[in-house]
Amino acid sequence: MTDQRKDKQNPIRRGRRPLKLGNFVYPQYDYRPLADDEAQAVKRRPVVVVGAGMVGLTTAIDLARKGVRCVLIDDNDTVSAGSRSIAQARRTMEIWSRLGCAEPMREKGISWSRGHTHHRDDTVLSFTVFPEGGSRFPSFTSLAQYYVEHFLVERARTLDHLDIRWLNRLSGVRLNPDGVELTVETPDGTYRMQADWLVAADGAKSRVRSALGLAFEGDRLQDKFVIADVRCGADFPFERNYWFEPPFYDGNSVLRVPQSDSIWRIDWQIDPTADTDSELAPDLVRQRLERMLGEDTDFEIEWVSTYTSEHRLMDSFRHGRVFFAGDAAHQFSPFGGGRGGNSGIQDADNLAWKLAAVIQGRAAERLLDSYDAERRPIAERNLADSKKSTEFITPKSDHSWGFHDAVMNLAKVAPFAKSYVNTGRFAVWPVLENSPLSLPDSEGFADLARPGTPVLDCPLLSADGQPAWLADQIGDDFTVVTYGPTPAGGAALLSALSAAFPTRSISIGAAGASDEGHDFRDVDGAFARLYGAEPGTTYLFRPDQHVLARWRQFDSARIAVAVRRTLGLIGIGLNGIGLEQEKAR
Amino acid sequence: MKLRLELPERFPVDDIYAKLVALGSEKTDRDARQAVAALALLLINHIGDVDVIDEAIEIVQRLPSTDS
Repeated sequence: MTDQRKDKQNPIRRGRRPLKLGNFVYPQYDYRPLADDEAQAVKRRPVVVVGAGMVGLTTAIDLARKGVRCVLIDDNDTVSAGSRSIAQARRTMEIWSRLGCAEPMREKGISWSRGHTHHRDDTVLSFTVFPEGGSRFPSFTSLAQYYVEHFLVERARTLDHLDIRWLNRLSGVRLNPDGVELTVETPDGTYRMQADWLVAADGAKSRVRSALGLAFEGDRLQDKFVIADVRCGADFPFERNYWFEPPFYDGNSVLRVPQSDSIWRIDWQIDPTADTDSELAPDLVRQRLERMLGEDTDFEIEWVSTYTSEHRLMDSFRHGRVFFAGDAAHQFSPFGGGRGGNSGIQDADNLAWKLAAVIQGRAAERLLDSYDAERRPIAERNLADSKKSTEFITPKSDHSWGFHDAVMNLAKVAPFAKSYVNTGRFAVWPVLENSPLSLPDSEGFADLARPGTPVLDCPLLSADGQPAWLADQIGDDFTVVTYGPTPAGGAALLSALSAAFPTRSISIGAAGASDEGHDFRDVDGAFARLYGAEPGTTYLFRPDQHVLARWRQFDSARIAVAVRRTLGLIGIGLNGIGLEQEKAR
Repeated sequence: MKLRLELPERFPVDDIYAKLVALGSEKTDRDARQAVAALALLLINHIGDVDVIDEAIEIVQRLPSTDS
């Protein structure tokens, strides 16, 4: 169970003074006392999500949009302090776009595509981050976590099925075979609640995980960093800069990344034995920033803190009726290339449709096992990549320092060595490799849009000539995308499948083709290139916009089997098509 | 095994050995380590064959400890 002693020392209460950092006034969300019936009787909820951070909010919003009643509890009544997770990847923005909340984030965020790594007085690497394919979103949108959470809460408030309970702190969890019992502490006292399913999105120090006595194996590294949000009038280009052994700081490294509102994220490594409080002394922080930014630069410190990297991973992201998502399930170094927050949003994207499908009786419960099977391998990869970046940035042995030094100095004279410079490999496109849900290709296709790949967005033209995006046409339902005219039998298939799960279809005509017979037209052949499409090529997308299967010709039976197999419904019988018949084809 | 382990003909092994030792002479320990690492990286890039490099690393990992 949770540490009650700590809770007594830190009682949950309302009426705290709202924070203001620069232009951003921290919202203070209303605590609502429990309704009488809830206070007097233990209510059972379909889903409870613990933690109203980026991951918990995204999960709850997606569930509520799908018509699942969801309670979201959080022990705070505002958004995260400080910028924290600022690199919102293109895929993350696409997920939020599907949820209807990406637009204000795009408007508020900024983007950068150039980065530089420096060693002492030399620039050893300059690079440009290009988005894959064509997308309305850049590779990264730089936006502070407090803004992201603010926009997510705004979206959540529009959803009738979502009940957000601020200043509700989880103080106990008991896992039963058919559900979860929760004890929740509020300013007005404690109450109990039951849930059919629980999503733990309560961060690296997850109370749910602790309460259930589950391990979170890994390492806490010795390296320490100071992190600061600095409002700065300097006319720096919107570029990422990383310095090793910079001439303006005695420590090993400094990172500077732009954010919106003229704020710059600045991280600097400090001596691992240094006293943290001393390193955060305002005079010392200001003195260091003056050297980093230039003595003539006006700046204000908006937020400053310290952090130590941890690499941790749960053995399984599902424990009975509890799912772990985001930092509650996996923790990476911030130098992993923005993998922490972004992979948490992918967790939410992966879990929500499956949970909704099972709750609504559209899928067998075993579909939920695929959450761990699909997401944990990605977390393992992120963890491995994060460790490699961390080792390069902060070598842990004299031997490792030898290679770090060799790379930095070779990179000044030998181009190949630049590729070894690793200040954080940016998050790779989250393909669900070896997913138990994906159908392997049985026909010749290039790797690019292989099963498991999230939608590769590209511009389209609608039948009436309006610009559109592929990603907007896909998601929430199963979506059949055909290249060429809508095939005969498509309507009957969709009608039959939709009885089990909402399924829709779009047809895309070749660039320059006539508008007749298809819903959209390819623009400059982008769709054909990304998807290796030829006339008749058919893609089946999952509700989370990942490719489930693809064929060279539209085939109703195969599509039906793929959908029903994914939902775990093979054998129930839909149009008399079963797995055995599919194998025999 | 793709890694060549036989002695090439007319290879000036003694000269090469002397040059390798000289790489670390009059250097601090950190600079000496950098020199060996840089040499490895240059040669690995020149070889450009991951299998060969993996085989070489495996042999190096199996070398007995010099502390024993």
